[in-house]
Amino acid sequence: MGRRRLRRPDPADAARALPEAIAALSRTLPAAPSPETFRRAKFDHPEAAPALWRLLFRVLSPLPADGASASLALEAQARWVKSALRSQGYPRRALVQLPDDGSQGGRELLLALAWLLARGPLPERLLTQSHVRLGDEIPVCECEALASPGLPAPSVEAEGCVDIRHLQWLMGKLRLQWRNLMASQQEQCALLGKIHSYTRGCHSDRSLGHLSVTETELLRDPEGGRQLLRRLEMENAQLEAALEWRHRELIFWQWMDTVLDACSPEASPLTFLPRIPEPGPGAARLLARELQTLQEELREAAEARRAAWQAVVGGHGPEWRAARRALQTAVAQDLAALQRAWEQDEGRARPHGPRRLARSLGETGPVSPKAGAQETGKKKTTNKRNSFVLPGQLFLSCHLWLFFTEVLFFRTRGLWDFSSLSRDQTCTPCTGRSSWQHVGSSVFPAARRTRAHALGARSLSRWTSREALLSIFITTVRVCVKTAPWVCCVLRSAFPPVSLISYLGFVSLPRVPPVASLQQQTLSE
Amino acid sequence: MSIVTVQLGQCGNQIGFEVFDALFNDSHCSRGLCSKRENEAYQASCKERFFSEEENGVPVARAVLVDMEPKVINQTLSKAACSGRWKYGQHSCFCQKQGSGNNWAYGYSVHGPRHEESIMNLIRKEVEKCESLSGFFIIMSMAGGTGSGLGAFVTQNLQDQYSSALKMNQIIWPYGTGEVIVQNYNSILTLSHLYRSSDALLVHENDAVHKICVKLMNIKQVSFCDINQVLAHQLGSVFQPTYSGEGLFHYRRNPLGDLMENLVPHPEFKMLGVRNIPQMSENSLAYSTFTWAGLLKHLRQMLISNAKMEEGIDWQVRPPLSGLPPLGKMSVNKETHFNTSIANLVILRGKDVQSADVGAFKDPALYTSWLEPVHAFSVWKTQRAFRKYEKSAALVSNSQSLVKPLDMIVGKAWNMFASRAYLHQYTKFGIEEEDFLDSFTLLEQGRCGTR
Repeated sequence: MGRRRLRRPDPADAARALPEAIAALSRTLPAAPSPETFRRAKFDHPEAAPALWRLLFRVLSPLPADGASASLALEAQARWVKSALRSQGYPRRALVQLPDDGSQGGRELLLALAWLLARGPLPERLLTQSHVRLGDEIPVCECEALASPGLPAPSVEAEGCVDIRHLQWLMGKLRLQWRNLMASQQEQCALLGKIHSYTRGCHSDRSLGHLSVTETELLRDPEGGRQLLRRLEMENAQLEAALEWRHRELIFWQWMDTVLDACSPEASPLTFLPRIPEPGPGAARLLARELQTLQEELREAAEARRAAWQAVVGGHGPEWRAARRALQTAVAQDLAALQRAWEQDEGRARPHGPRRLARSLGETGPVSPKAGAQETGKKKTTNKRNSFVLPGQLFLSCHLWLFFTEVLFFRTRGLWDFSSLSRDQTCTPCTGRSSWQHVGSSVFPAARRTRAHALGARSLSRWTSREALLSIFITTVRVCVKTAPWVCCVLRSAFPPVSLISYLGFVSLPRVPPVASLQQQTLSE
Repeated sequence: MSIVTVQLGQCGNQIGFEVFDALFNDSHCSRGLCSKRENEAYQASCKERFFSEEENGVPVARAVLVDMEPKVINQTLSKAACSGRWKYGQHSCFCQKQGSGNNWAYGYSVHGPRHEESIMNLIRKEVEKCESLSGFFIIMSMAGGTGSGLGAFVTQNLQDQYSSALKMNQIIWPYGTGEVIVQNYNSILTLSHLYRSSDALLVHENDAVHKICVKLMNIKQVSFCDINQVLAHQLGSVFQPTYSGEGLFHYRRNPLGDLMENLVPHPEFKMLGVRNIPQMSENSLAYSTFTWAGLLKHLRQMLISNAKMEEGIDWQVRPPLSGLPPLGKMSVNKETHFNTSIANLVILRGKDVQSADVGAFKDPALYTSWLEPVHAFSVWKTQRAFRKYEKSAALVSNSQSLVKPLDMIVGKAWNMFASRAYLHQYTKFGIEEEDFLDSFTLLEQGRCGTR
């Protein structure tokens, strides 16, 4: 053991650190050149320039690389890179002055790349673009990122006059192609819906519940699975390289400082006035002079107007200042209110970017309206089977009405006597007075038996007689309702007292309307 | 993607039945000359497009049958059900007890609005059965009352309700010496209305198909059934599945859309004609062999000389040399009319289809000056043979071939209109003289453009 000796930084380590950092960067960026090329670019070697032009083109183009863009000539790529950098606000003019054939300017290109890296998380953005997508995705947001300036289109020279019929033909073709595209998209939605519903329950992730097209292909075709694996491994390697790059960035920036020092300093800061061309022969010289005088006049006029405005605005009395202050506070309040309203909207997490389609159970999900109509059509037929069950409220109100009429009826007849019922459990001979009791008692023993069998735990002796009666009523009614609701209706019309039973039964049923309970049963089948 | 067929009138219903029969028989034909897997893919594609599945496995045609008289619809339904292999839906027909009396105005102004809701309901049910709708295929005749008047009305309604779906109208051009006196009036009214609301008009002339039956099929007594069968054969060879593109081997999803995109983008030129080769009776089929070169040569000459069948082609007609105006313009050779095409689509089906050379169709002399062959010509292929023909080719063309028949009809109609003959039958039901004049103007525009 000994005390830990402080490891002195190894000079060899320091020498290795920079190439490793640049290597990490080139592994992260798509189609990036080797660290050796970066080193050559610092010293402005000509062979480094084309590779860097291509890298910048690949990095700046908004869409992932495809065959069309890759096959553009170096000259076209260089021109496009210059215009793209200019539109993003790149300040150095030396880049614009580089020749279009892409043979020179390694150092300037290196500076441009560093500028892009410094502006935002460039490697991460590129990795997001080329991310391997496993789910079926649709773009949800409508933000401007999708509508960015595209790649240069091949320019078609119009030779002479164009026949209007040809234009009409092309317009009509475009319109028909749009319609075909819409129809194809609808078809794609319908087919995706089918795949999602067929593979329900297959996914290990419960929240998704079904497979996407990629995942289904994976199961069907092992070769496709291997290719997907390779792509995922490549993406993993790129992500690791990006992490490594983030650790080692500092050395790269220190090196870029040296590159910047090696460059010649820029002549003057960028002004926003248009560049006055060099006076050329004759008319051009005249034009240049006129432009210069115009510029001078504009500057003077602007100064004069500013001074006048200050004079008008600045020198008023206290009431003007008070009015201005009140106006300012009112505007500030309005702005705060607006911002609060926006923040509430923002709080709802407006979706951004593509979202994975997932079909939830029990819903029709994001499918085309026609498939949706099919689904709802099927649902409608299942609901039709339950349609003869009356809505619970209607039933209750009918029975309430009937209950009160029965109360009046039986009370006048003297048949209503709960207490006598509770005492008299045995069968009595059927007389006019106790006909209800007879009906009730013929039902009771059977019901009591079932109830007793059903609840083994509770002994009957613990029940009061009234409680037992009520529970028997409820059981009978529940049995009737669950098996054949129409039995209740028939019985109701045949035996008025039974309506009382069913009323009691409904009162004590769980608080779910019968329609929904049956529906739940069908859905869970 | 599915196509919903609307069969209108006596003519439409009879033809519709033959078309579905031809499509079904072809897709279940045993001699497909291709592998089993390919055959199954072909069958599935055809089935998905034209038939829907019902519980007991019998395919149901995706069709709505409409007629004002019950006789033809009942016959059609029973014929389909008797075959046992496919059938029409039980509730997809609409008929009334009273006909239209060959009166376009009655069909358009009376039957149309009265039965609009029921007919559109039937169509909507059919559309809902489809997973994805490619478009509508409306079969009607031009000369009768129900087919033409009601057909024009239904097409307009479809344009309003399903504006994003494509509509192709299959029109039967009446005999030149037809029995119906007012067929010319009916024809021009139909054409002008369809030009506004339909996307493509596929025209079959009764005269031409009659000649095919007599000369090529050797039928002595030509009945409407024979004519309809020839027609169905031609339509089947256009609409059966084909490969998506060069070198691809899965079937095209949207033939209607692709056809329209290639042939009828221009709003003024919507009339299409179909020619196919070979066409012969089944007895002669066993003794014939074909080569692609021969078939395509004949087909090209049929196009140029405006012949509708492979017999009696005028081989003297030649495309004009480049730089010179087409022969039709010169007053000297009036007889040899060269048929200029705006766009052509060739569909090849059968053995060794990849070796077929369609270069002759890419000759710029065949086409107008303002459209190049690369835009104007397209070819579809499939290896699977069509209906026992080892090799067959069909040509759908947007060309001048219908200019002459149209001229004739418009001329006759104008003569009748000038002498105010039979106009009262139309004005009685709301079609005024202004409507006639509008129709004439529209058709004149079309004719001038086609020249």
